[in-house]
Amino acid sequence: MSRPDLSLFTFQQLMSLDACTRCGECTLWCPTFTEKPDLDAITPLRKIEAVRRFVRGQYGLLARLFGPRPPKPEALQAHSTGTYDCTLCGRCAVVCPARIQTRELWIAMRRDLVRQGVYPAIFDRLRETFLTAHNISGDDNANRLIWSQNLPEIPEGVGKKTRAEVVFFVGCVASFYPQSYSIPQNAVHVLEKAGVDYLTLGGEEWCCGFPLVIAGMGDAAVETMRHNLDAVHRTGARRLIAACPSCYHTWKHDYPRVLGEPLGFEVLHLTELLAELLADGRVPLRPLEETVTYHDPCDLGRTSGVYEAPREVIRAIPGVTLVEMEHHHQYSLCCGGGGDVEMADKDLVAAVSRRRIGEAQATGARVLLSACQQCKRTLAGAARQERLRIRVLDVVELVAQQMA
Amino acid sequence: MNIETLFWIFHTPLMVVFLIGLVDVTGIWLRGRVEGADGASAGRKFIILLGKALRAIFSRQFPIILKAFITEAWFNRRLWQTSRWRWLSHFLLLNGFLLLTVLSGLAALSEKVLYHLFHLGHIPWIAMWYMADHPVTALLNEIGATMMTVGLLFYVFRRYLARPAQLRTGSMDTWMVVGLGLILLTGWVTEIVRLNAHYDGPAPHLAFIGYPLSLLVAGWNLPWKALADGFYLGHGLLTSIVIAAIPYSKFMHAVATAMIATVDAVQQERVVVQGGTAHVPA
Repeated sequence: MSRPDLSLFTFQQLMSLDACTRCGECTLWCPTFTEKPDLDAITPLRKIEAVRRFVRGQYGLLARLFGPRPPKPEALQAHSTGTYDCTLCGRCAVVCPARIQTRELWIAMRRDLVRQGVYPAIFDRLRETFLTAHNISGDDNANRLIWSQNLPEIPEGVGKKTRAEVVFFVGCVASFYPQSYSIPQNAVHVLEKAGVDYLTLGGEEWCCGFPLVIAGMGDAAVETMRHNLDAVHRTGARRLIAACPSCYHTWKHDYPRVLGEPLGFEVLHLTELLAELLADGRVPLRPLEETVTYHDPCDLGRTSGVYEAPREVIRAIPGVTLVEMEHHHQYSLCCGGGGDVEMADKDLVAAVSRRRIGEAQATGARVLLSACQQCKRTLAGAARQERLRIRVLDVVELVAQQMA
Repeated sequence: MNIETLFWIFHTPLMVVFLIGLVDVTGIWLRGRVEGADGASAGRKFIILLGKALRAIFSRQFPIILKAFITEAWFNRRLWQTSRWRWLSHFLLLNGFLLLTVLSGLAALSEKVLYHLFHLGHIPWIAMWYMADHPVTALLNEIGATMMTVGLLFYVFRRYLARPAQLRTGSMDTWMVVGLGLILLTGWVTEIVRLNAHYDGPAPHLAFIGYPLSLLVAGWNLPWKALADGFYLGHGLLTSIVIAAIPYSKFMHAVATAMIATVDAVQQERVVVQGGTAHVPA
């Protein structure tokens, strides 16, 4: 067991450890602590307190005078459990009176835990799969367009073009998990109808790197990021569209930072493009008398700041009434599917998603919309388990359904 | 040996302890990454950060920084949005402490420097700061101490009596309460005995708590002068001990939180200016 590597943290993050007053506001908003109230190590304040103690014990004045005091293995293990049971939803950052940017701090903590070898073993398999199969499911990456096989007609943009204005980055979940196939299927349907010049990368699309970045193994994703960037550059695209908020966030914010260069093209979430197409009148929609509610995906809302585009799209459908859940926008409750928690603790994911689907049901809406494959999977699973009469759809699915 | 010499004999090493702690904590922060300073020493990183801060302050961003500091660090807008009671408690403690610190600083500056060194004691607006019974000084000190006392009482009530589930009270919290409580208690007692030992001002009622209390005990046959000196020393030393403990304790949040909240608010503002709506850290 080694000392924390403080170069994995920024100056600001290390200062944050002293800025936290342990006021506990975050504990009231933490979706995982709500479901696991006996695991105090999950709470943001305890994670910060633990790392501050580890750091002071090994780098502080007393450590310099009398030698470092390494943390007890059980304390480090408890900290690891708490850190990896976090969905990285970032809700704690929104309510923190000290304005600590917690999500990035948790990722830095995970990086340090990986370096110290104190992390769930299953993440080794994730890294292995990522590096060998170039996706998170372990499927043959050449099958990335398998979702297109049961389309009535495979559009030209899906695997037949090499250059286009727009690259549609499908993402691993939509490519390899059948419950999510309908998202890219409907997305290309809308893009075709709107006359967008697009293409998909097929087997040249590798995982964006997000799962490794948030697992604290981001260093292993750099080559993959470079591969993806080169693949997009070869298409001559001026825009990249991601239906997955995590891919979107990674492309938009992590790629330029990690690769140290501007991308040279614009990155949009699919809902942003849809809002644009609807505003331009390129996607006429039929009316629908329906009450719907919208779930803000954490990586699209809190982490990337896209709250209004999906709502604009929903409101553009004539007759649709959008009602908000108890928690929405920056206070939105996580669906439970983030932070790679599903790999470490499936029961916790189920508990968080049950609470969220309960909020949706309380609105009286018959359709729960989201703009994320993972949210859709998680929430649809919860709706099935709870036997609720609520349909869980992606925004693009509803748009495709209502296209005139 | 007079009381003041005795005070400085203890106060000086305690301030050295404070400075050592400050260097220690800052040294830990500087082990973190600083943009544009890969592999640089702590000193180099400090210079780079200082340069960045100064360039930002002396730029067109100054109004943004000032606004962020006022709304997020000083006013603590997020706490205001969360709970008015918590905000009030924090506001009273913080601003009572700031007010008393500023008054102490002004007293030391006006007496030790402007009066003794530059012989400017005849100027009323200089002399007033080291004259404890000057109406303005007396009133401001009373206000500062009252704010801190009320704020601390709210804090104690919430943490030890109301005890909302979100709180995790540890020994550090209790030590903080004990430290601040002792400072305030000795401060009030010092004022009461001093007012009975000697009073040299035109409007004693401006010490609106200390003066009535001093009248209550005025009839007691006590060695007021000796007590005033003793409590002055005790109060001063307790304050020095608490200040020395700042870098080693949760008190450090007063510095760190102010900086983190300001920097984050400025970063967020920049994102908004660029057309975004959320904070996306670098």
